[in-house]
Amino acid sequence: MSVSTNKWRRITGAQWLTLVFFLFLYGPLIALIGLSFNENRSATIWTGFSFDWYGRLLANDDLLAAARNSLIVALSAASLATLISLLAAVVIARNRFPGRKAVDGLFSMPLLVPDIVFAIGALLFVLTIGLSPGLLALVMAHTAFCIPFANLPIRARLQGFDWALLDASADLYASRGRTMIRVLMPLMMPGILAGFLLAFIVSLDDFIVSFFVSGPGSITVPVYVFGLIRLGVTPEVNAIASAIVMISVVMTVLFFFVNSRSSRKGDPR
Amino acid sequence: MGRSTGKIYLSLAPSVAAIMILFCGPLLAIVAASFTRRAPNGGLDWSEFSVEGYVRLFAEPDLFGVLVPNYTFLSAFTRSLSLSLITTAICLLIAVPVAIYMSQSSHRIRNLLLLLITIPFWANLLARNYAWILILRSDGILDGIIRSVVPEAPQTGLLYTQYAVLIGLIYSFLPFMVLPIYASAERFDWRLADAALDLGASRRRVFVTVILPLLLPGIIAGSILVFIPSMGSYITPRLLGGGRDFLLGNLIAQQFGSARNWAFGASIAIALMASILLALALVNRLSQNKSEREVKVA
Repeated sequence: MSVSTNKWRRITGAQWLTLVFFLFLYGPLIALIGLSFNENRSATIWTGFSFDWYGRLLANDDLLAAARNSLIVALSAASLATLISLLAAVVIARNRFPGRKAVDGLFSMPLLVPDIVFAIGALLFVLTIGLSPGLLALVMAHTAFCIPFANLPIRARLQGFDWALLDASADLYASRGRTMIRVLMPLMMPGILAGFLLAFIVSLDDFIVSFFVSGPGSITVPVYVFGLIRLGVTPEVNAIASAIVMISVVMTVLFFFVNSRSSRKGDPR
Repeated sequence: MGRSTGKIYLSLAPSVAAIMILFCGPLLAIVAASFTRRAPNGGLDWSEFSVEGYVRLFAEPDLFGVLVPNYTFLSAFTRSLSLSLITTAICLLIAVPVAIYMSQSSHRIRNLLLLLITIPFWANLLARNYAWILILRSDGILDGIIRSVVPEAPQTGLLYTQYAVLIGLIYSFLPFMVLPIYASAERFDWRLADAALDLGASRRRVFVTVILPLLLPGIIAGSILVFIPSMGSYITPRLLGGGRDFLLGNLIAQQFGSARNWAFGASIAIALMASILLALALVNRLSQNKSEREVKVA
């Protein structure tokens, strides 16, 4: 008999597959973080709990210098990428004009290019314009591949935006600038913040582009970690890799929070 | 409103210029570099137009200057293509049931699962691949778990094999597949499936003819998001693969590193981009044909 409603409920065994899926997703991360608290010198045999390896990270000057570079690059690139996306996204969302689709597509184009291809392109470009690999080159390259990620939440926020609010502000004699700052910006803020965070995470995580365009004094944390991994599996690497993962987790939860608030308050009235 | 088209373009100019310089600049630099020749000291000789890099994709001059076939690129390309296709297929097989299951859960659980997928999605790729070294290496975590069940079991010896690379690629990109399919499944009206059942279709038939076609946009988006980074992957094969299992990404990086043949490296990058664009055009064509057929049926 097929009269009852909602009969096509589930694929047989889907809940078990989902469980295995999440175990697969989290098993390696849990193993990595667990082992980073291992007191033993051997990187994979558990003997006892210890914070030692993390303590050593804080005394590692090379790592701290790399962390400083990573932060400078991520903050600059995420800010620039957010600004570039915001300026265009508002215009694209509000107006109809020839070539609108093409301009819109321009902002997601970096997603279609594999990182390794963009990485060597960035290196060639930097050298062609007479710059040498370093922090400035890093900021330029990171800004480029962060743009689609900054653009995503901003565009989502602009969907269904009530443009009448801007007209109302103008009718009440607010200048264009004042309307932008007092009406548009506050309404866009959750999208801007989410876009910035996403771009920031993507920049912090990047290895391959940084590997090619960083100079001797400007390597970022992933490039530093890659150098260590090449030398072998050690408790220090366990601790750094775990710290990076934990920072990403915090950032992602933060992003999720900002983003869900942003969509809940999607209706400005 | 009522702004003139000219004014609109003017206000878009700064952003468009920024993307053109920061993103299209590097792409053009690759195209330009691919038509140069390797300089004696290893850099680029910009003074001369040359297709040497492209010739090298298939052949290279031997000691006497006679062109002989060179399979370095072709074998890396074949390996990359087959590994990427297998990765995409396995991700698809896992992601469809998981995404459907998620979309049918209660609102609360759905949001929790979404967050749980997003976390590893943004966790550092290098760290996530490194974790697999700990698991797969000899006397690593996997061997430890197997020995705790079967004490005399031999080592699995998975690290530095193609299987390790495959596991690493699936692990790296699986969330890219689940999220778009979930987005499609969430919008799916399940009453359609029930209607088909009520009209006497079997469960399998409902799945194939009603559910899958409506999930297609998500499936296509997910497949693209998995296939592209797999084709260009560098970290996973570098950390988990053996020296012999070279993929395209490694070959490109090698030309800009130890091999110091930038023109060849740029040519490989162009070939990679061309194959990706070809794949995208193919997918586009197929999905268009499909929707045309559906219109005819309707």
